[in-house]
Amino acid sequence: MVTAAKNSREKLLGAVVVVIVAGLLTFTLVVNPQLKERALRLERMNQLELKLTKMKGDLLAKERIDDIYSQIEPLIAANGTEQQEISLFTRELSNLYSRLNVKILSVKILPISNEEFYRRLAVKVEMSGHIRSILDFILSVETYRNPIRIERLDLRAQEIVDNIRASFLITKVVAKTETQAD
Amino acid sequence: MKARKIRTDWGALSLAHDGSVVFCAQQNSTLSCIRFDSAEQFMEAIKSRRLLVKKWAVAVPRRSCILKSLALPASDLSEAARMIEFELPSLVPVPLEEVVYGCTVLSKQPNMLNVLVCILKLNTLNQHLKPYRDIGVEPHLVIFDSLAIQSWFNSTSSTSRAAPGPLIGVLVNTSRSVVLTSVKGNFHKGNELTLSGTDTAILPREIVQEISNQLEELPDILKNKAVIVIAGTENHTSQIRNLFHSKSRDATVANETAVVSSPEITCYTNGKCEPDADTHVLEAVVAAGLLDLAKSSNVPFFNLLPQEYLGRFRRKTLLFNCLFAALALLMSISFFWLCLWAMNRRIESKSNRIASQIAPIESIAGNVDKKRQRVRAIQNQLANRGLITQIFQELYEYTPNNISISELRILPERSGASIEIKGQADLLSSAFEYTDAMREAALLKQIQIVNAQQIPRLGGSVVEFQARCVIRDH
Repeated sequence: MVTAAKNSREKLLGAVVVVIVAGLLTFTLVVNPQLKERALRLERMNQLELKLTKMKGDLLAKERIDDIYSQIEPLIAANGTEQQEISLFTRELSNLYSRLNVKILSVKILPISNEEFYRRLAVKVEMSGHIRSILDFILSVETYRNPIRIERLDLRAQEIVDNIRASFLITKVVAKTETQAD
Repeated sequence: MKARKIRTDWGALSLAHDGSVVFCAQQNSTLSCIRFDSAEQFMEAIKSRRLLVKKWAVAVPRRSCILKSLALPASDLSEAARMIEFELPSLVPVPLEEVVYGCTVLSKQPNMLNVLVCILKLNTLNQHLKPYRDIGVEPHLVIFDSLAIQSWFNSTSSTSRAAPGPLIGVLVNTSRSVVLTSVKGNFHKGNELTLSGTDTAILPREIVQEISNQLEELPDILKNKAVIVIAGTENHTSQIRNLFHSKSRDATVANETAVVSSPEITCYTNGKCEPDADTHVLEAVVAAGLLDLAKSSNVPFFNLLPQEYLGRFRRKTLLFNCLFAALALLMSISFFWLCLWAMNRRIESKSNRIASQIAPIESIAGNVDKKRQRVRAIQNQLANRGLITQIFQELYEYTPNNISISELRILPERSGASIEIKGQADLLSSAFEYTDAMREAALLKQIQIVNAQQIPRLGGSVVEFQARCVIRDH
């Protein structure tokens, strides 16, 4: 009786193992590949749907965007390679502070941030001088014709009265040319 | 009009001497018996799937069996059945592999079981089963007919009997043939008698005499407890009952009598049977008794079919079930896989449709997107232009004279700026009044002193403070 019961238990255990192995094999070889493919295809379809919706929105807004873009196009136009752009940007800054009575402590060119259709140039300038001169520099940057912007400003008083040390992080946006964008 | 379609797990079959076949099955706990005029008609019913039966039960005549009563030191029938296998060589002078046997409990005593063993030669069994196999029936249960008749009497009269006691069953098969079966003690003891006479008027007297003989064989204590159950056609049963009652009035012992109706038989062809249908009462009772036994948990022990045959059948059934399950599983998996495949195809075709909508507008929309991104970048770049100048203007205008600023940090954002100021004041109160002083300012009205502490200096002290302001929605 004990042997029979043991055999029966072993048979049941064997059957359970066979069923589990068969189930796992079926899932791994038959079901799972299809499920994975389904997930990939669904993701692709969702991306396409989003893209289509966005494109339809772009088409609707085309006229308005063209209008605005025609106004800002001269401000953002590219003037050569990255090096040429950096050179131009530093020259523009130099023109702004050279006529002021400030002492330039350092000018550091930061890495260029490349976006899809434009690039952002960044320069860190440290200077010291009379507060009035520093304020003149800030004013000239904020009213400059090209889209340059003070991203960060640190001012620290110095021991000489009305003299301050200033640190600027200044950026400029430049459009990429068609070949650069590709 | 043919009988309705029957689908059942167990069907019992009994072949009559005139070539007709009596089939009984239980459907919705109702017994229905059908008589087929010939084996061909029965086979036609099977072939046309009007009869769908999973397992068949048939009976072999009691006279083919060797019946032995054994007292075994067993606690239950399964243990007794194993013991009988060792006892068989001493019971019959035939090699063990040439006989089959079945057993049933006669009575129970403490640590002892009285069993009735029915031994049958394998050849004889095969001879009896041949007619069934010829009509396409492979039985799963074979029992000797007396046991089936007794079982039917027991189950039929169990409701009408007041108390359990010995039962003497009288089945009037035809006006010329009677089957009388009795039990001794509380359990079965097949004792079938077949009487026949040429004069129908004499027959009841013979039956009553035989009943009296049976009663005489019982122990005194059980004599008045015995119940006589009479079944058959009404005119015969009432005749026997009346005769028995009139005889009992003369005797000192009065036994309980009950008349039960035999199973109703319908004919396969037209639903109603001809008037001589009672000729098949015996077959119907045997078939009905077989069905009762088939439902019993003791089936394996009184089944006369060889274990190898049953094992072979079980293996065949198991194999069939496994194959069926595997096929069903395979089909389910295939169906599931097809569903997933179809789903993927549908997603793919929808994606292709969207892609085809995108293709013609892609370059125009891409150009618009490029311009939009550049416009946004320029807008960000030009946002809050002049804010720093304005902040300085307010600081110059609203900062009290007793406050001096030593450090200033401005972090312009898209819609505002974050400002941190470090400065000195002559008094602690002056530092905190700075917030009030700036309240009139348009941009710096939210300025807050976040830290202020008095620091001793030569000739006095000075208060150093930190202030913070966040400008939003400029």
